[in-house]
Amino acid sequence: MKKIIWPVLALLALAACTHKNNDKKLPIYGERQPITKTVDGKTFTDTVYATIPPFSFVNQNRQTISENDLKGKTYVADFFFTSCPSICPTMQRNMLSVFKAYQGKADFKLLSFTIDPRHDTIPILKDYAEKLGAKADQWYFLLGKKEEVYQLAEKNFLVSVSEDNRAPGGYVHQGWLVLVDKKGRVRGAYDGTNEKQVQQLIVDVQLLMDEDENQKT
Amino acid sequence: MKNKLIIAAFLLVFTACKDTKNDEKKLEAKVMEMHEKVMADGERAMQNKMKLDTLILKKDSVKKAFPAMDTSAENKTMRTLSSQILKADDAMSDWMHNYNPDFRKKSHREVMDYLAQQKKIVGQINTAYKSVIQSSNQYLLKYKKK
Repeated sequence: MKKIIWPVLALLALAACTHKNNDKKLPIYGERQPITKTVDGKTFTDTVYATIPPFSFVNQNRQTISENDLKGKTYVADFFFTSCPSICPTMQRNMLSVFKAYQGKADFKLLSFTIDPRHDTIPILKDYAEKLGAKADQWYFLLGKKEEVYQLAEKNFLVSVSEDNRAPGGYVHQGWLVLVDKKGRVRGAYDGTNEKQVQQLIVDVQLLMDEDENQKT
Repeated sequence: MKNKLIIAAFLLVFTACKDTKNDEKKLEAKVMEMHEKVMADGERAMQNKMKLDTLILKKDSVKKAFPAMDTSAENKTMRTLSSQILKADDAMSDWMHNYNPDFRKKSHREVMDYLAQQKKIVGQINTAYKSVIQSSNQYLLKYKKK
């Protein structure tokens, strides 16, 4: 009897832990609006969350990448430039850890937007990506107009960072890794120079990948 | 006695090397710290540039909102401010592109001179940013009134 109790207890503990993990929900950042819907004669209020707006950039293989390529996919975005002498090398090394943790997963992508489009041309981005060991079908190094990158970064991707800071601006070059869910909603920002936060990001990516896309939040 | 002297000489050389490396690291850290601050300013300048560029494009709407305004003259001012921001921004990205942190083939003196020169350049870019942020902030105030 005693022999059976221990495996049963272990299984129960494991089930409890797994259950707890599934229950953990990441916050949803950005503006939200309540909308009233009527279904089958019943009126109820739903919430519409802010999502990353449509965008169009070119990746290291000269392919156009837009929000349509990311529909139904969990992804991590960051802002960098290849000649960055300070925080970017650490940040991109940590981004590489995230990439390696989910390498080959079709429903997970990484986006690195350059904030120096004048110098970071497609061949330079391609070379940088290859040297880093990034695979072009999963990790996009994106080139576009600087103003558009800043607009997207400040108004959309870094919304959780600006919510926590009162001083306006100055967040784009702070090394944030932004986690976005399958519906295009920002679910977290992690300090890309802090290994502990990057490890947490790796755990949280799985939470979002396991999330049911049609589930109400 | 001779052995002690040799050990002392080695220790002296080792300590001196360590000190020079520390000096280089400290100065490099200062340059990087300045660069980080300038990058944040660059972002603020870029925000103003985007506002100016939008106002330039929406000349007709601006005229409607501010009928008494000489929009052609204002557009000229805005274009000047926008290009000043772009110039400061290009200077920063050129600096980053040209900065070479590979000091392996340089002597201590050369490294210190190089870093001092870089600190000076970043300082100049910083001044340019500060000036253009201030003037564009000041200019944009008039559009906040309505």
